[in-house]
Formats: sequence, C-alpha cells, structure tokens
Amino acid sequence: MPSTLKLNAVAFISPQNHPILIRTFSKPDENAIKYHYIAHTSLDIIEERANLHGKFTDCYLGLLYSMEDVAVYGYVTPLKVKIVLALALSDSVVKDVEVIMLFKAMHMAYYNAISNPFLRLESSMDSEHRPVTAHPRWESKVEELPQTRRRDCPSIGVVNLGSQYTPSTTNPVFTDTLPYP
Amino acid sequence: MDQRVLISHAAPKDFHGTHNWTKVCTSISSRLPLRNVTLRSPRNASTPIADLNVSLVPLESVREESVSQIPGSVLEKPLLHLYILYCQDDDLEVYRTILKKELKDWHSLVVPKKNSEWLILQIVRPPDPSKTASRNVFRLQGTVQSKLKADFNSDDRDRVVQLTYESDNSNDLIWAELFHKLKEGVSTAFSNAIASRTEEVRRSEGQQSMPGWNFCTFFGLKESLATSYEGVGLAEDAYNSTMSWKRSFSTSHASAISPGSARWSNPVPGDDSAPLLSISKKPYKDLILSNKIAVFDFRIYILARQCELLAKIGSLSDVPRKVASFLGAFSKRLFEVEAHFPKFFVESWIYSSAITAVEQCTAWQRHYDPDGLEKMTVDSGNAELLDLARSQLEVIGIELGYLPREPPFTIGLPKRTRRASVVPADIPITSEDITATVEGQDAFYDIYIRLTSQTLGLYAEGGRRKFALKLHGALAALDLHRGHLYKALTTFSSLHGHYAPHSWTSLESYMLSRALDTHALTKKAQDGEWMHILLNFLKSYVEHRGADMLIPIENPTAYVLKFVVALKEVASATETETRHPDHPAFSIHPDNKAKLAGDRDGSYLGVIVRNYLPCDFEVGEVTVDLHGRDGEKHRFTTPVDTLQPGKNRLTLFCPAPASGLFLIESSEIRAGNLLLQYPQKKVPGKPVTHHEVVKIPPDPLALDVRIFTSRKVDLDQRCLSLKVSSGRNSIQKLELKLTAPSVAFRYREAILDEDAGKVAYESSDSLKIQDIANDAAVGFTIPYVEGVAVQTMRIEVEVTYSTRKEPKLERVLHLVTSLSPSLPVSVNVQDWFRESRLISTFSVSSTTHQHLRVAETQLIAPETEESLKVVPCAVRKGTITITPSQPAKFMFALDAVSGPIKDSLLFIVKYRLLREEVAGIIEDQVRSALSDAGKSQDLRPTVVSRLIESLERDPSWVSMYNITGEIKIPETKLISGADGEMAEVLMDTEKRLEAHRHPETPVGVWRELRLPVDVPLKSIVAITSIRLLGTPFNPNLAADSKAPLYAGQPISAELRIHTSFRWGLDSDASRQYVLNYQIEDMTREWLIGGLKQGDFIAKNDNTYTVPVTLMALHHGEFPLPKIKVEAQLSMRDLTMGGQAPPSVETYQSHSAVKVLVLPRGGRSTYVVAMGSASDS
Repeated sequence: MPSTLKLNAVAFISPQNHPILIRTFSKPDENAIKYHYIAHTSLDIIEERANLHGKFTDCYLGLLYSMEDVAVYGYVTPLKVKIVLALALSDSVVKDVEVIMLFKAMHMAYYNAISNPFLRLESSMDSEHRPVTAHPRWESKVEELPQTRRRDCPSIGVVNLGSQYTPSTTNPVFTDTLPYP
Repeated sequence: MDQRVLISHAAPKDFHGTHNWTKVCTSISSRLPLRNVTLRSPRNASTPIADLNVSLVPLESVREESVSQIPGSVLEKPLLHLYILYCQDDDLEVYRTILKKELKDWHSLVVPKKNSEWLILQIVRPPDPSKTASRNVFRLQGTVQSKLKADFNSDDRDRVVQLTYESDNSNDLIWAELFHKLKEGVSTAFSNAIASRTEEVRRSEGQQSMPGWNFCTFFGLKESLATSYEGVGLAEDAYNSTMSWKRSFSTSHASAISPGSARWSNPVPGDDSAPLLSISKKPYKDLILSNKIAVFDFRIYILARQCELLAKIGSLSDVPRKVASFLGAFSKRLFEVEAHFPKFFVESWIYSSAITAVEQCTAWQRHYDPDGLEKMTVDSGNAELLDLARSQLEVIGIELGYLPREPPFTIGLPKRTRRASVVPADIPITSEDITATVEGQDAFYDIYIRLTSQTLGLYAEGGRRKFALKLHGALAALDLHRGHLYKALTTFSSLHGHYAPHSWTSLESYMLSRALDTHALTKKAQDGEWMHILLNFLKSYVEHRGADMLIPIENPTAYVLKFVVALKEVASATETETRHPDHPAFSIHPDNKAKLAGDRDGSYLGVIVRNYLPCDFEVGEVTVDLHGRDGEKHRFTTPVDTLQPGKNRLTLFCPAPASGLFLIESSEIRAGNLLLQYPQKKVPGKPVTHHEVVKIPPDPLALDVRIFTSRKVDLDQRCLSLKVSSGRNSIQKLELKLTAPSVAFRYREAILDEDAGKVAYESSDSLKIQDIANDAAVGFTIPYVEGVAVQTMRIEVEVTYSTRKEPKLERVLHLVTSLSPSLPVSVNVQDWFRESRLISTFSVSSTTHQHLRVAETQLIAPETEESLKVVPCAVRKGTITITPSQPAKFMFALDAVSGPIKDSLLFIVKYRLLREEVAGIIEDQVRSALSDAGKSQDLRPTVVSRLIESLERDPSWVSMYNITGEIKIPETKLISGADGEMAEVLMDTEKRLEAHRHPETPVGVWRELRLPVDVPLKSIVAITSIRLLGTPFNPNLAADSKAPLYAGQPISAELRIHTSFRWGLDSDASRQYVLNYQIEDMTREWLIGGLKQGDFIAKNDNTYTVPVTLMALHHGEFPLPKIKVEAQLSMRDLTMGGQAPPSVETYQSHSAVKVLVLPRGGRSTYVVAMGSASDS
C-alpha cells in the first residue's frame, strides 16, 4: 500500500533545546512561522513525556499532538537531539512504522552531516550553542528526503538512503549515535 | 451503562415465595457482589476482579433467545442458573415424590442454554440433636444430597451445594462453599460465552465478501464483546477490543459508502453543537441495529465509547489526545464534503465538539481524580482541544474579516478552499458561540479572548509554557489588529525574552519585529526602550543571520537598514548614555602586538571589527581598553564613520607612552550615546583560561621618568631624586605627581638638580614643569615623610604632559617604580680613647652585592665645639672601590682640648655604585662619539643599553677598571651583531672606553651619605703603665736604661694608674669612683709579687701608684703583664643610688713594650776554629 504520509516540515533541535534546523516543505514559505511555533511548542510535550516516563526508553515518541491539518511526531536520538516532524493530517491510519522509518532517515542524514570532519561549524558566533548550523549539503539532504520518499513511495526511500550513506562503523565516536538498524 | 452478571434463580413451587425463600434470597443478595472472581481475559491471563456485580433474577424474567438478531452483551443472559430447594437430608420421600420432578423440569430447561452454568442449592436445617438416634435407622437409604448428586451431576463437576441454614445468619463460613461454586460457575460460563462470541466474530469477519453480509451486525458482535468485558470490569480488555473497530470499519464499511451520501453523513439540526463524547445523545444502538447509522455518527460513537473506556481504565490523559486527533482527522473528511453542510457547520462542529469534550474530561477528572502528573497531562490535553476550538474561531474570524489573514491567525488555517454550500438553510448552526460570532464582531472578540484565556489557564496548569507563549502572541496580535497598540507593544516587547533562553532566535526576532512595527504605529517617541527592543531585534537577527526571517517582508536588508539608520539618529539625539554589553552584531579582535608611533609618543593597535549586519552601521569611534599591571590602563581609540558589513580593519591610537604586556579589558563601539561594549568574558565560577593580551614594545624616545634614591642622603631628611627625560618631545607643560602608600611627598620643598639642567617649575600639590627641550633631562630632589618604614617603596608616578607639536593633546604617563629606601652602604664606627685624644675608625661596607666607589670621606666637627679638632689620617688620593667582601676603613683622630662634647659630629661619605659610574661614563662617551661623528643623538639610548647589557654579561673588565679606569667591552653578539650606523658608533665608543682612565680627582655626580656621629662617652679613662724601677744589680733603672734583666732576678716595678674623667658626661671633676685593678696572670713568664689586685679611689686627673715586684721566669722577649681596671661598685652605690657602674676604658700605655730577659748565669760554649794544617 503506498504511503500516504506527507511531510510538511522538519525541525532538528539540540539537546539544549536550541533550534538547529527548521525546514518547511510546503510552498509558499509564508507559513514558516507556523512550523517554528510547532517545533518550539513540541518541546513542551517532549519534556512532558520525559517527566511522565522518567526516561526515554525508545527514541520514537509517537504523535506529540495534532493541529488543524498537521500531526506532529517526535523523536529523540540517543544523544538527545530532538527531531520533530510535522505531517499533513489525514484521516487514514498512520502507521508508526512508517513514521519511524522517516525519523531514522532524518537521523541518518543528521548523523552523516555531523560525522563529516570537514563540516564547518559556525566559526564567528557562538559555536557551542549551534553544534551544526544550516550546512548547505546537509540541508539539501534533508530537503531531498521527502522528494526521495515521494519517488519511491513504498519504502519511503530510507532503504536507499541507508545503503547510500552507510556510515563507517570504524568511527567509534559516533557509533553510539547510530539509529538502530 | 451499568452492567452486571445475571444469576437466575428458581425454586420448587411450594417453597417459592415463602418467608423462608425470601430470607434465603436476601441472605444471598446481601453477600453480593462476588469478591475476587478470577476471569480469563482474552490476553489469556487470569485477571482477578475484586468486585463483580451480580444480580439475582428470577428465571422467568429471562428473555428468550433470538429476540433480536443483534447479540447484546454476553451478560444480558444469566451466566448461572441457581435452583434453590429446601429439603432436609433425610426427607427422601419428599424429594422423590415432589422435588425431583420439578428439579428435572428446571434442569431440562436450563442445561441446553448456551454459555451458562447451573447450580443446585439444597438448604437444610441444622440437625436437631434430640432426633439423631431415631433418624439413624434410615441411614442406609442415603441422603437427599447424595441423591441430588447422583441424579444431576453429569460430568466431573459437582454442581450440588448443601447449605445448613441458620436463622441468625451470622456464620459466613457456611456460605463459603456456595459462593465458591457460584464464582466457579460464573467464571466458566463467562469464558465459554466469550469464546463462542469470539468465534462468532471471526466467522462473521470471514464472511465479509459474501452477499448479504452486514457490517452493522458484524459490528454489533464486536461491540458485544467489548460490552461484555466492560460489564465484568475488564475495562482494559474492553478498550483493547475496541481498537480494531476503526480499522475494520475503514477497511470494510467506509469504502462502501461514498462521502457526501446520506449514508455518510446525515446532518440533523443540533449536530454541530452536540456533546461529542456523549453516547446517549442519539439512539446509536438502534441506529446500528437498524443499519441506518451514518458514518459521521458511527465514528463519533466509536470515539465516545473508546474515550469512556479510556477514562475507566485510568488513561484519562489519552482522551483529549484521542479526541484531538479524531477531530483533526475527521474534520478533514467533513471538509471534503463541506458543500453538503451549511457554512461554518464543520467549524461549529469542531468548536462545540472540542469544548464539550473538555467539559466531559473535566467531569471525568472530578470523578476519577487522577494524580499530579496525569492531571497535568489531562489539563494540557484539554488545553490543546480548546486551542483547536480557538483556531476554528480564527478560521471564522478571518473569513468574516474580523481577523487579518496573516500569522499568527493563519497558523491554524487549513489550506483549502471553501466550497459553496448547496444545502438549504434548514439545518441551522446551533452552537451559540458560533452564531454569536457570526453575528457581531465584538461578540467574536469577546469569545475569542475568553476562550484564549481559558486555554492559557489550562496550558499553565498543564505546564505548557511554550504553548502559552504562542497564545500570548496571538492575543498581542489581536490587540494590534484592534488598535490596542500600547497593550500589544507591551506584550510583544516582553514576549521575546521567553524565546531568548533557548536561542530560539527566529521567534524571538519575530516578536521583536512585531514590537518594533507596533512601536512605529503608536507614533511613540523612539526612546531608550525602543532602542533596547531594536538592539535585541538586531541581536536575534544577527544570530540567525536573517535565515529564519519569519516576517513577511520583501527586502530584509532594507528593513534592517531602516532600523539601523533610525538607531543612529536616536542614539545621537538621546542625552543619557545607553550601554549594551556583548551585542553579537559586531565583534572586535585586536592584534596582539601594538606598533610604536615612531614620530611621537604613543602606539598604534590594529583591530578587526566585524559587522554581521547586512548593512553599513554608522558609528562614532572604536575603543579598546587595555589593562596592565598595577592598575595601569590605556585606551586605544580611533574615530570611525561607518562599519561596513564584514571585516573592517582599523588602526587605533593611544597617545600614552607605555610598554609591556597588557590584558584587553574591554572594547567599545560608540555610536552617539549608544555604547556597544565587549568586556573580556568572565564566566562566574570559572577561571579565565584564555587571556587576550597586547604587547606594546618599549619606546626609548618616549618621555620617561626615573626615580632613584637621592644622591645626597641625610638620615634626618629622606629624599628621592627623579629624572624626567623628555626624549623626542619638546614639552610645553608637564605635571607630575607621585603617590606611595603611607608616604607624603613634599613638593614644595623640591629642589631642582642644577647640574641636570635648568627649567622653570612651580610646586604645589604636584610638580609643574614648563618648557623642557627635547632630548633633555631634568632632575629634582623631593623630600618625603614616611609613615611606616618599609623595605621597598612602591611609587606610582603620574605624568600629564603636552608637547609643543600637539599642544592640545594631553598625554598621561603612568609608571610604577619601586624604590628601596635602604642604602647600599653601611658605616660602622670603632673608637679608641686616649687621655685627650679619641681615635675613630669608620668602616664603610657595601650592603648589597654591588661594588661601590668611594671618592671621599669627611668627619666634620660641629662648629659649637671649638675645642674639638679633627685630624684625618693621611688621605689616599683617588677613589676607593669597595666590594661586598672588602670594606674600607677611614681613621680620624679627635683632640678634645677640654671637657665633654655634647654635639654630634657629621660623617660624610661620597660614593656611587660602580654600575652608575660606568653607565655615566658610557653615556658620556657615546654622546661625544655621536656628536663627533655628527650623528643623531637618537641612537644614544640604544647604543648605551647595548653596551651596558654587554658589560653585564661578563664581569672580566671590572678588576682592570678598578685599577686603571679602562673599560674593556667584552666581545658579545650584541656588539658584533650590530650593523650599519650602530656598529660604527659601537666601535668608536669601544675605543673611547678602552682609552678611558680614572681622573686624578673624582669627577661626576656622587651620592652623599651624611651620617651624624656622636662622640662616645666614657666616664673614666684609665691609663695604666708598669715602670721598671730597679734590679738587685741596678737599683735605679732609668726609663730608657739598657741594663740587662735576668731571669729569676726580682725586678722592682711601679704600677701607675692614671685616671681621667675628661670623656665622661659628668663635668664634676671632684667626683670619686672606687676602681679595682687586676694584674694579668702571665704564669709562664712573670712571677708577680706585691698587691696583684686591689681597690683604689680614682679621681679626675689623678695617678695611683702600686709598687710590685716582677720576676721573669725564663729568658726571652715578652711583654709586661696587662692591667685590667674595673669600676668597683660599693654596696652603698648599689643600694642607694641604683646607679649603673661607670664605664671604664683602660688604655695600656705599655702594651707595646716588650722586655728582653737574659738567662741568669748562663754558660755558653763557643767552638772556635783553630785553623787546619793546610792553613798553616
């Protein structure tokens, strides 16, 4: 069955709750503030979940909340980078597996970006506060994701991504940041 | 829906309805509900149910099967049939004749019933003890109980229970068996019923594709399962079974019904305002049974059922979330068929549904009372629902023109185009709020604000701060739209602060830009507050680098530029200074090395200022403050017009001559009265790990002030000397001030050192000097008073000066030097007393490791003492060098003509350090070498310092210099490494120094140490002498007699002690002292006869004589014995006066006298050569 997920926006948020990247895929871009708001308010819910369950045992947090036409899903990587996806709300049943696949693809894109030793961290400003800034290549990767997904709908492109960007497991620093295969 | 397990009861006709029957029934009922029943849930686990509600119903009332096609809950029929008969155990007759038949009838009626169990309860009276014996006769025939068992128990299970009924009804034990059987029966029956129902569901599901299959019937079956679980209290299992409802619905049923058809939704008036979670608002059951239910109602029904179960199982927090996602998802479906509804019908439905769901949740919350965290989750879930309702209002508001079509109102606006309604207006909108909002703008605003506040309250209780912020933003936007500008401004300008902590700059800058826009609308004066908002806006703008600009503007750069220009204007116009630390729009990076100006005092510092704004920024000046040791501060500054975006390279100037290593304290960019400060970062609690330092190289030609101890040291009045070297500057005006802890400087008593150069000066609280030519030095001696004696004095020198070239520029030189007030020389005095003469030896030594050159010493008698005459010993010409290991002694003789001397003498040493002397020579030689070669004197400081440094490295020249005055410069790299002009001068100077000789008389500047010296006191000076008078052979020996003395020969002698009180303080010459003399024992040389020791009375200028006899013990040359004279304190003196003994100095006038003693009767053998044969 073809996936009916439509990705509206994605937000990467640092462990210190600073925004790393917020991108919208809906055109025109005038609704950007909406997704900034969504990303920001999602933090409340992620925090709420953390309080409720003590500790995240699973990266995937499931549906955080839904708005008029957007369902917001959350994901926390083992290193506490939060990924928030805003999916277009549809009346059909959303399978968690599909959302998780999407999250893993996002996580992998982020992971690939930060494991690049040549990634220019923002030099002049507060580099500590912004571990990864809007890096053009990575950004384009994130931008590509929904398109890839649209092209190969059944598998939402994650398999392709995975094989294409298999990280070198010899890098011990980042091994634990890998999403579970 | 309160469901309970049914247990039917039946009884024999004659027992039914009797008093006893009622009593038994009441007893059983009173022991209900069944406690701790173990039911098998579909999860295949045995779940204990604490209280299972059970009703006893008469068998007759039980409905027959197949009344309805749709099966209800399995609990609708009795799970257990109970037959109660009252029969004594031995009444076999009655049983056989009457009861058995009735029981059989009941049994045949009950057993075929599906999914139910049966149980026979035999009530017996307690056995009567009196009748026991007689009854025993019939024992063989068995009992009624055994008969019952035999007749009815068909399988392994025992379904007959006997109960001995006691009328007092207090013993619970007798009921135990019955209730155990009841529980067992109910449990088994329930399991069977569920199993068969599940099987039915499965079968029905498998028949989906068959014609005539009805979803509603299928759903009925499924729901009955859930109802059954719910009825017995297995709410969780009930909820789990509802989970598959929606899926089976969407896969099978929904596909068959097209949206828009009446079967899909069949709106009736009131649908849009009905309470969402109520399952009684419509006859859902009947609608389902009659297969007439619309999809719309059906979905709501499923949701309501699920939510109810969720509330029951304690997951109340899931309810709002479920409702929200349902409303979100299902409204989308409704919008697809929007044309079939009146305008705003769907919005009204969502609005009312959300609000009623919140009401229902609140009611459940009160009922189930969840704990803290759960309650917060419910609250925040409810708030989300209200938020959803609120966004419906926004949709309506935007459409009606009450709200602008822009964020934040459009955030909740779904992207869709409204389809024109095609339905007749007979379905009105029934929600009061929505009707009111459609009718009037004010009502809309009231409702909108009320709902927003309510949502805010719930968010606050749920701990959702960030959601609340969003709503505050919306309220502010509404205020802005309605023209409540000041209120909007206040909210906007306070909101940004909440986004700042997580550097959520996109939203922060959005809020700030709204605040700025609002400010512009209010036409309020652009004041300090505005400036703060703007600075914060620029900060957030710079932090996200304009990438996440959420403001819908075409040209962000122009937008920012507009503000930057305004900022500059406001900053220039305001009177008060506004400081803003660490604004990220700029960064200042000074170089770590400054460059000397060269042609004037001061240094240049290169600085890179980065401007992160997308436009030019007009500034006034850029400043960097450096901080040195001892609180020294220097300010580098330069006027700047604009800072362009990106790197700006600036050169800052500091006129103060300073050198060394400095910490960067802070940097500043000034634009009008706006100061953007960049202090050196100090993280509290963390040591500063990285210091930014600037090195300023030393400037040999800059103005310099040197402080050293005064050349002329008078121990009564301390002075210090200072030397101002003008360097390259011809100074117009100079003011100098010294400060040191606990030291007061007396500027008024300052003396200009004439030899250094003459200038005009005045002294008041400071020293003001005017007109010093360039390359000149002016020296002053300034007296000071020390509060506390210290080892080293730390003197801060502050010089303010202006040069002729730049008369308007006032430079400040701040120096710190330490001065050791202790002298490099020390002087010790040793005195020897004679009758009228005192011999003083002054020993001058160096206290430091430095060599000293002493030119001259003088001892000056006070003018008042005319009788005192000081005679120096033969003075050696030339200068004496004192090393730390070799002090020099200077001897003086004082002739006191009369009486004691009260005033002190003055000892003067003229000295200087060898180092100073050599430095002076080198300076002079370099100066003359330069002037002879016709070269600039600017080279001099460098040449001198090179030469001195070279001398410091190798001390081999010192000894030669001390003797001859020749300075041989050791060959070092400093000399050989020089090139060009410098090498030439060095060579020349080197030759000159080698040719240098000590002058005959000391020349140059000498330090002078003036030391007051008191003439020592001595009460009594005793001059002792031993005069040899005669020997047995020579009775009268003259003083210079050559008569031989022999060993063993008695020599009569006279001991004379002459006492003089001249050196004493007491002028009373008549005073007498008792003195004691003692002749030294020289037991190897002299045998002394006579009074070897004794007392005598000493008078001024009197001689005491004692005759003694000496006998030399062996021959040879040896001195006469010495005499010790001490003051003898009488007991009277000790007791009466408490007087210290008078000081006595004994001068052995014969101490240099030696006598030659010949051996007595000595025989000498001389061997005289008589000549040899050859001689003859």
